[in-house]
Amino acid sequence: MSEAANSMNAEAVQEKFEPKIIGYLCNWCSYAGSDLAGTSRMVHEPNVRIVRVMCSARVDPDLVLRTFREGADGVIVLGCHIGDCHYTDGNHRTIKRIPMLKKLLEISGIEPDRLHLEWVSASEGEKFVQEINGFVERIRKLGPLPKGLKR
Amino acid sequence: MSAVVDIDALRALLKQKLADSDGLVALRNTPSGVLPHVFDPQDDLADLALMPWYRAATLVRQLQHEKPEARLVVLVRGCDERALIEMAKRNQVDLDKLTLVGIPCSSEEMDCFCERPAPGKIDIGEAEPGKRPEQIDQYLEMPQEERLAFWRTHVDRCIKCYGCRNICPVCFCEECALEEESWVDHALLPPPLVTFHIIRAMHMAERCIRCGQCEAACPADIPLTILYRLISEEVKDKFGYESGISVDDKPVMALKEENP
Repeated sequence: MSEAANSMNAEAVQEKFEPKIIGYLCNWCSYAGSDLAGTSRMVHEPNVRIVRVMCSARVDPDLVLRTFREGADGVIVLGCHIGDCHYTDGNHRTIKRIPMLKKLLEISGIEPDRLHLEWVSASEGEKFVQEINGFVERIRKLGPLPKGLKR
Repeated sequence: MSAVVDIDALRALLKQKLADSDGLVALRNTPSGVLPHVFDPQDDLADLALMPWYRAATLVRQLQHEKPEARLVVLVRGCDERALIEMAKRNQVDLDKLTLVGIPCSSEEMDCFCERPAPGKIDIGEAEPGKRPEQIDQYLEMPQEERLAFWRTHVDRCIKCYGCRNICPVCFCEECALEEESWVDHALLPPPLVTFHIIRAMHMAERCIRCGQCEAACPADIPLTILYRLISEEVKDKFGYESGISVDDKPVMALKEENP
């Protein structure tokens, strides 16, 4: 194949890049919020695979790292607003862990924007759609997770 | 031998403390080399040795596990004291049953990237200033885009010997995440950056006592102190928490945020 064709191919691949994103959603607020978005027939980007967890604090940093390793280009963690946690203060732990992990990603040279934490309540279907769309757009701009980090 | 510590004065002090205890945890010269040892209360400490570094805190933990009632004197350097404090926070050692005798490190001994080469309470000798490893500031000057490539070249040499974990004076988990197949692929060399080195760095964020032994032990010369120290500095900036200083500072990442 000629060099020109090669680079055209590369461009075509670049254009076609659709990020694979894993969303960890808390069962009590954010998952209900996504459900509301669904029942309200709101449309959002289809790139997010949702994993329902019982609490955003259940999202161990090790789990996020393994998710990247398994091929996620981005990981979004959604939980209850502070004060609304079903377990009173589960998200008081999330709020420490996820930002610290983001910092560690930055220290290791991985874009910290690939990980995102936001609070979405059960009534915020619209916010859920905005968060997902915004995050997908951001990862699209960042491009795929650098080669070699994935399996 | 340590230049800043008068060994005879130290011996005298230790003998005095040893008399009202059940044993002294320190190093001993033997015909087969220097080994960690529990000296008897009657020992004249003629064979006392100060170098090399060993995992004093881990040894004390094992001793206390076997003999919870023993009152031990422990000869500690700065890092040993910090490690014991971290272990005590996590209920691994009982500081109430220990008498710590602190000595500073001399500059010749400091090849372990230590910024705080003396314990909080020095019994004999004078502290010398620690120095921040130059490699950390050099790393911080590196553009963000080059960092990942930097780590890759280093991490590609990793032989997954677990030396960094095994030497670590504050690692004690019975079940280590780095051996857990849920996180780390078995039988894969070199181990992946994200699921091995970064997982370990995350676990070290609030625990690392900045002794630098991991990097000193690494057969592949991976500059691990950069990773661990930068993240523990972040914990210090964000939460004002520094490990190994006081038993009253509770492990910050394990606790909930009081005022989010």
